[in-house]
Amino acid sequence: MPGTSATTGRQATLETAGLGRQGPELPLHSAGERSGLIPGGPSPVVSYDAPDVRAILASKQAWRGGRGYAPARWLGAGVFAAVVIAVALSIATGSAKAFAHFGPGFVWSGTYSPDITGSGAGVLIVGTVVTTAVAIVMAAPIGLGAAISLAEFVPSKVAAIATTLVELLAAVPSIVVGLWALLVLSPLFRSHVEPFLHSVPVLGGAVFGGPDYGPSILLAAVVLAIMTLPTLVSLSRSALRAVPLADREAAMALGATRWQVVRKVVWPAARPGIAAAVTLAIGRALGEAIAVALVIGNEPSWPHSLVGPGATLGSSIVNQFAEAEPGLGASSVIALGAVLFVLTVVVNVGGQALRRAGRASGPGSFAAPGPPPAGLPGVGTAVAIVLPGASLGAGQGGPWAAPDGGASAPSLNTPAEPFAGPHHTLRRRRLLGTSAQTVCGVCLAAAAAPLVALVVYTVARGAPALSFGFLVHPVAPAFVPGGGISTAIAGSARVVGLALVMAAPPGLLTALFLFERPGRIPALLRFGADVLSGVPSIVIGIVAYEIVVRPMHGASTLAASIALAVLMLPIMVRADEEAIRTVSVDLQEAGAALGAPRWRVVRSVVLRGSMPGLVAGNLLALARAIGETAPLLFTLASANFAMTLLIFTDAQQPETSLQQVAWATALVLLGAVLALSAFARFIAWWLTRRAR
Amino acid sequence: MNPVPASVPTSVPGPGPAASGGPTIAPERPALRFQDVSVSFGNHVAVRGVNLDVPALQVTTLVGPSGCGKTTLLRAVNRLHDHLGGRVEGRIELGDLDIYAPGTPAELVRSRVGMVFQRPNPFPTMSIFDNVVSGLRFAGIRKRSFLREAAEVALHQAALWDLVKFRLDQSALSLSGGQQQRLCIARALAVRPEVLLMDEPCSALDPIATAKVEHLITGLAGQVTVVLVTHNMFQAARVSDNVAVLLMGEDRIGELVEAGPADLVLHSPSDPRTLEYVTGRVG
Repeated sequence: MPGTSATTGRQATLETAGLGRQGPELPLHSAGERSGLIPGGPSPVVSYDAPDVRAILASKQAWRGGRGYAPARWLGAGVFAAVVIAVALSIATGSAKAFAHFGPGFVWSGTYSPDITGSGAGVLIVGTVVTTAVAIVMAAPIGLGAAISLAEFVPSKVAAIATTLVELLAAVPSIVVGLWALLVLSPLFRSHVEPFLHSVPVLGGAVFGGPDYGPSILLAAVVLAIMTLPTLVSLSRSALRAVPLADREAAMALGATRWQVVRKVVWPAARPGIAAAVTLAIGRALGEAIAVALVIGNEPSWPHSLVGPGATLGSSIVNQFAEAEPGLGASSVIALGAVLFVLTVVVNVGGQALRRAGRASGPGSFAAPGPPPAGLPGVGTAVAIVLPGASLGAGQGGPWAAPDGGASAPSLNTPAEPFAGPHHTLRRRRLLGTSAQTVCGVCLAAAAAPLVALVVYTVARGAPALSFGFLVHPVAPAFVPGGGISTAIAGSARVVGLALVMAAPPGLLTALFLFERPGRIPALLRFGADVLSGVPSIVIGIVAYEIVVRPMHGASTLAASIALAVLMLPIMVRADEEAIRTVSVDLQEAGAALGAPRWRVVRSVVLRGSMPGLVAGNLLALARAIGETAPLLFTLASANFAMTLLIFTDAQQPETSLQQVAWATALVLLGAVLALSAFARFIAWWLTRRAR
Repeated sequence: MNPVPASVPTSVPGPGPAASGGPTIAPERPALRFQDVSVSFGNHVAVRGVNLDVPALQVTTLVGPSGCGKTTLLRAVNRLHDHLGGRVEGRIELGDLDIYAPGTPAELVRSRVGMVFQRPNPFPTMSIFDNVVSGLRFAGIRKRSFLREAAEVALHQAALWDLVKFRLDQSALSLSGGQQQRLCIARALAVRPEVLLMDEPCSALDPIATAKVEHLITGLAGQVTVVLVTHNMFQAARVSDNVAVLLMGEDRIGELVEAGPADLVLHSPSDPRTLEYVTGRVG
């Protein structure tokens, strides 16, 4: 086709190199022949001064170079592996002293307390598990109902907006949720929710006994539920949407109601993905420390009542690591981290296994027969009429029934006697479907309500204090009124920026390593990524303290950004690999077939093609890092040097002026995080569009 | 708003080629009747002004080039445009049922109309048996003996019984592509539909599997009304009793050009556009 003559210089070169069979009228064609690249072509006399492509290619030696590509990948993967190993090792060595002193009984015995005697993690493990279990019991049904509603029932335009909102809300920092829970939910619990729960018969005494306190296990569980909901909804929704349209239509075409399509076809197919979503939510809930520490009351005792105070592993680390005496005291806090680490890794790895098992297992065998449904008297007789004729006649094409024969043969599919089943049950089925849809819609509202309330409340409380001066003045010293948060904003930016610079290159190189190499080492690295991304951020904070702060004899921006980099690294590896894998193999082979060396294919086909995903993934990791509090807790010298830390300390003060600062900072932080996530999505969309 | 289509509003009452006085077409009432049917998505009209009577218990094939709205028209019968925002105007009658009447539930229509899709789409999470009886289960039938018998009948009808009778509880994905497609046919037949819609059922199959499915289709005539969509003229000639030709009009909107007994339409079409298409000069 001569239409291809509208090519740029680069494409023209490619055509000469191998795609030259475009048409005789293209002068490039003869250039290709002359350079001998067209097999069998005679070398004609070239009537003009065409470049000798072969000579150029030879001189450029395009296939050379890129020698650094493979070593770079190995280097990136090595850095990544070193990080994983360092995290695991430092937890092990840090906690060694405590385990040596208390023996393995540390895990299950007694109450941890700062004064060491008889310390153990037992009560904290119970507190962690109970809190998480209550949270998931609340979050899972609501989240899954909301996901079903979003994926299946809500009109697609509404669903698109709602899904974007949910994904944005997933980025709400836990410290903001904690702040809201501490200053808004907790008083509400004390004055209304807990008295109400006491009055519930039977349960009131047994499960919800004790004085009205405010901070409680239940409140912590509610906070965890609110925090895990967006992720749960968004992951489950993706799993549901991933079920092919063809499967849905097959069910619809058989007369299934919309609810039946969901229940019988979509849900079973999406179950592995949903199990993974719930597992991730559990992992997140287990590891959350900061928001829980704000609202659980921090009383490391055996939980008697859900409305009483409690403590989790994470919250205890937050509260006790700073005060712990060097040596055995610090070591036993790290040991708590080790226990938490093992707990979350087991959950994450178990979740992966669950997903594989779900994928591998085929369909069940015959379902157990239920009782014959009432209200179907006609069915049995209908079949009695059908069977004999059908199983005989219909076998191998049967009698090529004459068209008029059908009318006289009453046995088979005469429209005169349509199948009785669907009609009888349709009303009931549709009613069931409508109720199920309503329930799912209510779940959607229930999932959205607290998050919307949280955002609205933060804006309402934070906006009055927000001014230009607030943003540009440094944080005032303690007991000095006024001041701003400029040092906190700058500190956050510095820490996160440095972390990005440290984490992005090894993240991308590791992703390329995983992409280029099948086999055992990448499988190990992926396992490492699963482990590392499951490590609670508070544990990463401890690790950074052990590895960086202690040897350097002081907290620093560098230590904090190393902690955040460790946190971002597995997220980036996963997001980058996912983005890279979206580039089609065809395109890569097209590049390779032109003689491009691998590194060039990767640079100009793979990386360019996956740029939207890469940018978006890294920006989302950045958004997540800005909102982190726990890794900074022990690594940053002062709370004035990060927005999240400032909120954390100010929120716990009784002075309303400080609480005011916390709200305003939370608003700034929320704005930054949401803007960054929205920007990531926009960039991805824009780059994709521009590429087309 | 609808200009009178240039289509030939054809029920198929005309005497066939009448060899041996044999298959006179169409008993009193057509199984399926399209009256001035148009389907549009947003502002885009995909197919318009279709008038067609589909005779009961025969194979009627919709042929035409890609993009002329065959599949769109077929899916309209099963109300599969409902959830994708497609709008159907005009009237489609299934026996005595007005498919798009306000009070007609889509599930009712679909349980009376079977559908086989372009690519085999057995439910991946279900066994062979569960696939076949899925329509009956959707309808609320749980009685085991009933389901077993219905499954056996349907699998016989799809010529699959002997192949799968000892492995009914295996995954449907353990079957080959052609077998999967026959399983989908059995699944559609198990609810004993009045009309079976087949949307290019062989397009994803190899020639041998295609031959088997085609054999099956011819065998189904007389038991169920089959409406088949294909762009393969040879296939249309092999399996059809009647052929309806859809072509794209000047404005790229699909129209029904001609319909009638297969021999007549394929060999001596009355419309010049049909002749052009059949002989390969358009599309």
